[in-house]
Amino acid sequence: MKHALIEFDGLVQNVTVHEDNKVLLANGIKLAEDQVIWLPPKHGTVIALGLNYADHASELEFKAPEEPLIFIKSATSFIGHRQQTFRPANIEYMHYEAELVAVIGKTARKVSRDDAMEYVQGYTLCNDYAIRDYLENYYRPNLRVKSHDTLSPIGPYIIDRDDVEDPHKLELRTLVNGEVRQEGSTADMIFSIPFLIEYLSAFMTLQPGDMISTGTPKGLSDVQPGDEVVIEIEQVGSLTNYIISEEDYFKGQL
Amino acid sequence: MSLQNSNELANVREVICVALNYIGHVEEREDEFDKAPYKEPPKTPVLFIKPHNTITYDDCNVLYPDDVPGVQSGPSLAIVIGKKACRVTETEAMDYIQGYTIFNDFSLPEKSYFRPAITSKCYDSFGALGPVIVNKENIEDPHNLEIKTIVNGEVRQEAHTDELVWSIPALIEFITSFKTLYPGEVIATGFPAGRIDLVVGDEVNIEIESIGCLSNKLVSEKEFYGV
Repeated sequence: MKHALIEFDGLVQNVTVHEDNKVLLANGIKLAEDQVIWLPPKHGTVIALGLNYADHASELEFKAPEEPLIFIKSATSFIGHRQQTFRPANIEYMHYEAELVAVIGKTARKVSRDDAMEYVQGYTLCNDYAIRDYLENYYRPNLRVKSHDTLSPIGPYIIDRDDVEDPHKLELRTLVNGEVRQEGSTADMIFSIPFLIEYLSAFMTLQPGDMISTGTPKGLSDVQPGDEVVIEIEQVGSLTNYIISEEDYFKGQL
Repeated sequence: MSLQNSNELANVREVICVALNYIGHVEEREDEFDKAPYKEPPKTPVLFIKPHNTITYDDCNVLYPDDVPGVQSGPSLAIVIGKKACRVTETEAMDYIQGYTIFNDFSLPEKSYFRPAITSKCYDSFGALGPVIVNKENIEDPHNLEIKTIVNGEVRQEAHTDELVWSIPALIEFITSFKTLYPGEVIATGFPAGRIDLVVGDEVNIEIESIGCLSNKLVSEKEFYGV
């Protein structure tokens, strides 16, 4: 089963998602994918991983970390499926990052990796964009790199854990205007989902709705206004996002 | 004096904090910051997030985890946003503030500022907030306030908000250049150099002139979780 949070007719509602991303409202009405506004499926804390694929770490000239590189994303950075992300004017390099997200289903504190999967409700996708121009060597990557307004598409829905056979055997890729730019497999994660749940829940209680965005494989490239960026993960789904210019974004805000 | 009810703070999802924002603090480390991995001193305010699981309030217990090298307090004047702020300039920044409160960033001792300090700063209850929001009209100058850390009745640290590297308007201008601030969001403006080491059982009070006193007690893991 797939669960989403959408806005339709000015009303925010929990829905289930069916073939072709058709949405079934609680009142039995079925709507097409483009008839509703897709919201981030949950509003918990998002904990993201850096350098969690060995090939990506070497691409960035870092050696693979011995301990997870974790950062927290600001809640205000998230947008849903089929929304627009703006690229600031006067920057050189903004890239997508296709990531599998584990969504926590029940309160997890000091959970062992053997029990960890019991605490996972399901999975979603995150395009964890980064604006590399803003990198500095303090709390790297900093908030301006990773928590810029509109920078974090997440969704479209949560697919139940048991509907995915093995989260560590999934192909993931990014398509920009239909062209495959990034490809990898969750088999290449350095720190697995059970490991991360054990690691994190040792010091912070994970609550239902919290999300762990598990990092991205190699294959980064710049995106430009006008680009359609689609993240795909086998068995989980695909997340679409549109890049617009800063100017167009702020015109739309007036 | 008009004090707002602290219930308004109950919906805070995260607190944005500014590290290395006291003049003495950066000077202390000047030599270190010219070398790897930093290579140069910070060019912009050094921000970090205290996520939802860390947020606690006045008069609440704070966890002193088992098997950690220590826990330290980090007192800060905090601002509460009053209206949606996107790309606000320094000169108009104060219009977007509703009022002020106190934040205490509990942390394990930090070894490095290179990577986000999640494993030092994100334990449950490590971000104490309150007790109330004091409306900005009641504070003549937020850059002229004394901050005291009092542990078990003894004054252990005194600092002053005139020592901020990035002033409150400068912080609002920087943050809103990339991240919209919404009403009710809280920013902890900076932590004085020389954090105070704490032990289990300590009662930590942060007193800020004209704002109030935020009081927390450090308890063992067993007591905190009741197991």
